[in-house]
Amino acid sequence: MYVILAIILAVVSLILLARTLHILYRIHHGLARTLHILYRIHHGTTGPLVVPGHTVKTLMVLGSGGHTGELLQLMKALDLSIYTPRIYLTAASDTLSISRLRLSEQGVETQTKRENSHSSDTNNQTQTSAGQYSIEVVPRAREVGQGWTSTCFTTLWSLIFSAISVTRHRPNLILTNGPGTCVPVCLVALGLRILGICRNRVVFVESLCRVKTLSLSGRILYHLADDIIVQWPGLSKTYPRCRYLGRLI
Amino acid sequence: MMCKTVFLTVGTTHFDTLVKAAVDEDTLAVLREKGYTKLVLQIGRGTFTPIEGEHCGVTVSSFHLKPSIAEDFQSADLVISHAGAGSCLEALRAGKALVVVVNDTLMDNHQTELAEELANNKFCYFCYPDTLQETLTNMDVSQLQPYVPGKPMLLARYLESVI
Repeated sequence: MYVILAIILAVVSLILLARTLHILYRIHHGLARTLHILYRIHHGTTGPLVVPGHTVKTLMVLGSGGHTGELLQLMKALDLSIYTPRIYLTAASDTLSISRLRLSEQGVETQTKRENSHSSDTNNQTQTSAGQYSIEVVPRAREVGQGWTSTCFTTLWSLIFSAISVTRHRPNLILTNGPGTCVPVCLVALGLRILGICRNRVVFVESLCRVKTLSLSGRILYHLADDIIVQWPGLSKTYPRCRYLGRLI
Repeated sequence: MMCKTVFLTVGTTHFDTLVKAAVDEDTLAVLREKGYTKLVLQIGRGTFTPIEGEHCGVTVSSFHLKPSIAEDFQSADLVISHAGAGSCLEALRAGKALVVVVNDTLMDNHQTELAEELANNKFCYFCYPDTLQETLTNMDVSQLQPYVPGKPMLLARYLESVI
């Protein structure tokens, strides 16, 4: 009888050992993958997102006043038939951003209709993809001047909602210019990439206001975003990972 | 006779020190001397409301907030603005002579960086509320450079190269 017990105990121990080794392997593998992705981000060697001719599902993080204004200005130069469908993510209290983005998108739709009515293309392409957009609302990660202790809780709350939004949409491109709300969004996008759920690229464009120092969001995402684009040359000297393309606004 | 207008804006902020400095008798006298006969003040969330009417030869009027101040920018000959990027750029894009005034009572005043840089490039003048009068006295708007807008196409091209 003791022999049978010993055999059972040995089998159970082996199963537990095998399971532990398997989990450690997966953790190790996950860790290796994480480090690999972070390495590629650091060296700017993140690969292309889509094959040529395909559209890029884009998520844009808007923020109070100036941030939204700047981002909408930047978008005017983009070929929106490539960056579609578009998801705009805003903080709950930011009704001004929502009305501004609607106006901006209406402008795009009017322009597209005008182009289509003049076009002699008979391929029945009256519904261009330039007009596809949706809006996601999340709790604000941090109010201006909010204390750091409470910020931890509000950021966590915002993170949960951001995680749900980003996971649901799985955007290929995350474009933001620095409101606090963008940090959880960018972290979740990175997480999805590490887990192999979707390929994406995080592009952080620092505001024109940032001449000598990076914003707090910029400093947090400095090693985690694929691109930190700055608008004044001094910044790329102080922060070598930043990319200076020229003044954008 | 010159009939020029000055438009002062503080955006949605509370910047009473600037408003008070602007309607100070000596400042108004300087403006009058430079040919400015009208001063319109957009005082945002400020609590100090200047007295309307003519003072030291300048007609003063004010309001708190409006849905759009584009027209006020357009009809001004000189803009005095707080250091918010939106206000500064709107004034510069409208091709107006600009004096940027930084609120030195604000903590972590990162707005100063942009105001200083724009002033270094001679797009505008830069000062604090207590040096406003001096700046207005010594300014020569013909020395200012026209604002060169940025190019969002640079970002568009970069994005297309990486996606």
